[in-house]
Amino acid sequence: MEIHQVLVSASPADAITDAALRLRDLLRRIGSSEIYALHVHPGLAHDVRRLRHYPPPVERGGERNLLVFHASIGEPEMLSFLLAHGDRLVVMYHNITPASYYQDLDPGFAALLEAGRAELRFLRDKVDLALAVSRYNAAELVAMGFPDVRVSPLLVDVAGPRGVAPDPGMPGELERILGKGPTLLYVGQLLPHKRVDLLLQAFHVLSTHIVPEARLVVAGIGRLPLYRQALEGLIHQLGLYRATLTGHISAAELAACWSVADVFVTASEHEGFCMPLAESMAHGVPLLARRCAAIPETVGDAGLLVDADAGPELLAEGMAELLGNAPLRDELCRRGAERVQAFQPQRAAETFLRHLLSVA
Amino acid sequence: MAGVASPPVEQEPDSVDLDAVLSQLKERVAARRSSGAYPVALEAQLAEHFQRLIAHRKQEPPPQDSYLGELVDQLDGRSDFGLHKVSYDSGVPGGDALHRAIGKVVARQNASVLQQLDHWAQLVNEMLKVLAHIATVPPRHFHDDMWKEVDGVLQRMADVERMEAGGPAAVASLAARVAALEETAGKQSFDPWYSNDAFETAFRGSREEMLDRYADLADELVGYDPVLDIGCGRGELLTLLAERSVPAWGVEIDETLVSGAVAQGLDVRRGDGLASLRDAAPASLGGVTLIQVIEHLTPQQAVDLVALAADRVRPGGKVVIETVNPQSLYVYAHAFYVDPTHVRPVHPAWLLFLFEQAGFASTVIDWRSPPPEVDRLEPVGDAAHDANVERLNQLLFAAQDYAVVAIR
Repeated sequence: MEIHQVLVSASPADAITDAALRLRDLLRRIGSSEIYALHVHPGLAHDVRRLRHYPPPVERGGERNLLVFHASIGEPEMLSFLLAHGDRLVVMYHNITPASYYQDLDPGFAALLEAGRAELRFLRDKVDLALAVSRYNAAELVAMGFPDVRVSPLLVDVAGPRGVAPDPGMPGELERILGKGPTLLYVGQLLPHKRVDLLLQAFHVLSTHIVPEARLVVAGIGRLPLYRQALEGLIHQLGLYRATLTGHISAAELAACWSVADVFVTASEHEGFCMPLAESMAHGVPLLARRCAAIPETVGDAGLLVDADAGPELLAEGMAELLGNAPLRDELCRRGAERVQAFQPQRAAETFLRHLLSVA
Repeated sequence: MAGVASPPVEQEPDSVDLDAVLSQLKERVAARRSSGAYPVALEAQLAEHFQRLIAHRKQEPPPQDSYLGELVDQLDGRSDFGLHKVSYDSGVPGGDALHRAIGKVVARQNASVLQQLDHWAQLVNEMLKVLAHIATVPPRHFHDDMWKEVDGVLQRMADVERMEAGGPAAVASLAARVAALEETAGKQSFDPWYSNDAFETAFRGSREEMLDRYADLADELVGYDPVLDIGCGRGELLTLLAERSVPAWGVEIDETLVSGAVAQGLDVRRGDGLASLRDAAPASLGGVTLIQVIEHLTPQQAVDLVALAADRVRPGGKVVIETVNPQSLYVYAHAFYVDPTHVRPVHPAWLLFLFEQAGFASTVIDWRSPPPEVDRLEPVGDAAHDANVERLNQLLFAAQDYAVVAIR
C-alpha cells in the first residue's frame, strides 16, 4: 500500500500546498508517496504530478492505496475522481470559506465555494477517516455528518521565514513610503472574509484620533481585483498615507516586514487555522485579532483578542494598547513563544501519522 | 483626547489579565465617543462608505474619470482649426491692410491645408479615445482568462510529456486496435461485385419457375389488399398479385432489383423492409408477405417485425412468411449456405410462437418444395429396414421451405 495526496491546485506560497509538500517528505520516510493536483503551477512541476497521471488500480494489480484529499474548494472534476478511484480515502479539511463573502463580489467563485461544501457531503460516506486542521474545522465536519473526525494540525514550519535573511533594503523603502513610526503588520491575502477593509478603517481611527505616527503594512496579494481596488480606494479616500498594500513580495521582503513589525493585527472574520498568527508568535511579534472562527483556538491566551463583532474603534484601541504597553507586549511575546511549540512540525507530524496508520 | 494615546493598562507582567485589558479598551472607546472625540456614528459611516466604494468599483469607470480622458477631451476641444482664428493685427501703422491683402492671397491654400489637418486630427482623436478607454478600464477579466490559458498550455505540455513517456508504444497499440476494429467491421459488411439478379436466377430459379412456385400463395392473398411485399426481389409475387388484381407494392433494398421491377411496371420502392412497415399507418394493411427474407434478419429484427405486423395489419388481415425449413437436413446440403447473406435459419416452432404471442388469431404452416423424389433413399423390401429408411427420409428430405400463414 502506498499513501498519496491529492489537491485541487498546487501553487507556491500556498499554505495547503506547503503542508502537502511537508507531509509528502514525512510519508516518504515510510514508503513511496506523491502529490497529485488538477492544476499545477509550472514552478511546482517537479514536485507535484497532474491528477490524470494517477495510476488506475488495474496498473497496481488491484492493490488499494491510501489517498489523502486536501479539501478547500469545490471542483466537480476532483469529485468525480474521488468517487471513482477505488482507493481508501482520508479527507483533510482546511476549511471552505462561506460563499456569502463572495456572492456579491465574485459569484463564480462563490459557486465554487458552495460546491466545495456540497461535494464534502457527497464524500461523507466514502471516507475512511476525516482529519481537520483545527477543532473549529472538525466541528464543521461533524455538523456535516462525518462519523469519524480527528484533529491533525497543519504541518507547517512557522519558524520557516526566519531561515530567510531579511531584505536589507525593505525597511528603508518602507520609511521612504510611510515615514518613521511604530509599525502594524498584516500578512495574508486581500480577500473579503479577511476583512482587510475593517482593518484599514481601524487604522484610520487609530491614525486620525489616537496614534498619528503609526504605520500599517498590509503584506499579501489581492486575488480578487474588485476587492483590491476598493481597498486602494479606501486608502486614497480616507487619506491613509501611512498605510501601504505591498502586493506580491518575496520571502526576504516578508522577513524584513516581520523584523520591523511592532504588532501583528488582523480583523479576519473567517479562518480555519490562520497561519500568520502562529508565524507572529514565532517571530516574537505580539498579536491582535478578533474572536472569530478558529482564531481563539489558534491564539489561546498568547494574543490580545477582541470581540468577534468588534468594530474599527475597539480594534484601534487594541492597536494603540499593544503599541504603547511594553509590559503587555513582552508578556504576550513570552506566551507566544511558548504556545508556538504546540505547532512544531514534529508534533504535528506524529499526530498525523498516528491517525493515518490507525486506518491504514 | 484626539491624537493622544491613553496610558497603558497597568498590570504586573506575570499576571496579565487579558479580559481586564479588553474591558478597559471598551471603556476607552465609550469615553471617546461620549467626549465627542469621534464623529457621530463613525463606524456606521465608515461601513457605508466602503459599501459605496464597492458599488462604485462594480460599475466600469468611464474614461472621462481619468487624467488621460481629460487630456483627450481637451484635444477634442482644440481640434477645430480655422482661418478665423488667425489674427491679421499688425503693429505697423497701416500694416493691417497689407496683412489682409497678403492673407487673401494665401487664404485659399491655407484653407485646403487646414481642412486636411482637421480630418487628420479627428481620426487621431478617435484613436486616442479608444486607447484611453482601454488604458483606464480595469482589465477585470484578464486574471481569469490568463489562468485558463496557462492551464491549457500545461495540458498540452502534459500531453507532450505523455507522448515522450509511452508515446511510440501507445500509438502503436492504438493503431493495432484501430486496425482490428476495421478488420471486424470489414468482415461484417458484404458488397458483392456480381448482380443479385444473376444470383437469384442461378440459385432460386428463373422468373418463370418462380411465378409457377408462388401462384398458390398469390391466390391466398386475394381479398387481403393492400399487400406489402417486403424484400420483393425481382417482383414475381407482385406480378402474380397484379394478375389477380390485388393492389400491392413491394420494398427491396437492392437497387438493381428495384429498377428491374420498376421497369416491368411494378410498384417497387427502394428501402428497408422494417422501416417501410413502421411507416405504414396502424391497421392500414390487408396483407404482408416476406418470401425468403426472414432468414436474412437478426433475431431482434425478426421479433420486431412480427410485433410491427400485428399493429399495421388490420384484424382479419394476413401475414405470410416463407423461409427455408431447418427441419430438413437436405436444405443444409443444397440451399441454405448457398446464399452468404443468410444470417440463420428460422425454426417454424419459434415463428409460430412469435405470431401467437403477438396476438394473431390463427396460424397455419404450409410445407413447400419437397426435395426431388430421386434423391430419397429407396426401400429395400425388408419391413424393419424400410421403416428405418422412411424415418431417415423424413429427417433428411423434409420439405425445403415452409410458409407460416397467420391471420390477424
